[in-house]
Amino acid sequence: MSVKRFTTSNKREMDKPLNLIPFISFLSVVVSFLIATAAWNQLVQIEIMLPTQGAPSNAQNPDEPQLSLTIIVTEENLQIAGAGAALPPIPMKDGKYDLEKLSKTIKDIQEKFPQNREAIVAIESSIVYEKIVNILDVALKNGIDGLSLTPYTPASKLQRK
Amino acid sequence: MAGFLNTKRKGVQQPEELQLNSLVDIFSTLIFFLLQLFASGSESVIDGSIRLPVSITEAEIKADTVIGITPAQTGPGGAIVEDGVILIEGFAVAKLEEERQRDQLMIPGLQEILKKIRQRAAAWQEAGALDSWEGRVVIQGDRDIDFEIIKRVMATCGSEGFSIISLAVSKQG
Repeated sequence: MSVKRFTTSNKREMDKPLNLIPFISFLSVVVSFLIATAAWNQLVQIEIMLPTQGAPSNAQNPDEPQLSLTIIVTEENLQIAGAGAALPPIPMKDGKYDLEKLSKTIKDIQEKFPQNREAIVAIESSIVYEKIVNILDVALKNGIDGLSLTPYTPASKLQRK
Repeated sequence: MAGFLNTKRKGVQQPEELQLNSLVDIFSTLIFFLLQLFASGSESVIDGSIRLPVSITEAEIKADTVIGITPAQTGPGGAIVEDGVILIEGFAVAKLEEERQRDQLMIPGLQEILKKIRQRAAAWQEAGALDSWEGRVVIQGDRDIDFEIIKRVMATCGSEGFSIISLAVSKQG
């Protein structure tokens, strides 16, 4: 059995710099894979209550008047209703829902009923999901986080059916 | 400096070797960052064709089950080339146009899969492998889907005991 002696020439061989190129190639592949599969846009959620659960209740304070805040979303306009009354419809502005006015109206209501954190959003079937999320955002911005979605058919369309 | 000292012949300057150590450091840092991004458990969209609406909400996604609603793919003339579908656990369980024409609130294909998921969760609970099952479902709907479809998906989820329904959205900014 031959024993390799630690000579000066061997030491010179060991002093050679490490070949990093294969390692860099490996890292490049890993980085490319991770970048390609990474989820760049962060997903979040809006929790929705089912209409049966979400019906605003005053179980905690039965003596308080029930608000039953409802945001009605139709193809033509937005409307806020509650406790058997309805505010005048909020017409479209430049072909879009007037979310600023909706926000202002909800804010005014919330100032009068600060305990209210629930609302029903009654939506016509043809309304696009993105517009619904925009309206939910307005409600969330004004402190309403107990949202429930329910279908809505305007009276004029019910007659046609 | 080492490169300058590393001369084979006197008077002839050899080209300096490329310093790769710093490049390795950059790559390593990048890999740590990307792995951290993965480890943070950020959910991703289950189908590439789904474009989620943007929202101001910051609530993190908590889901047992994810349902995807893809949009219809249209051709150059605006004609529908491929109908949108409802996806669950990687399977397409219903076509949107067929569902619209069927005029029923419940979606049978989706109902069947949800029932199986519920039964599976109940079996796991019986076996002691699952502590609690809340029946949370997240709907990843394309921004152009109409409420008619979302309403039916929600009604089907509710009928099968998936009572905590959330809408997946992209975080603003």
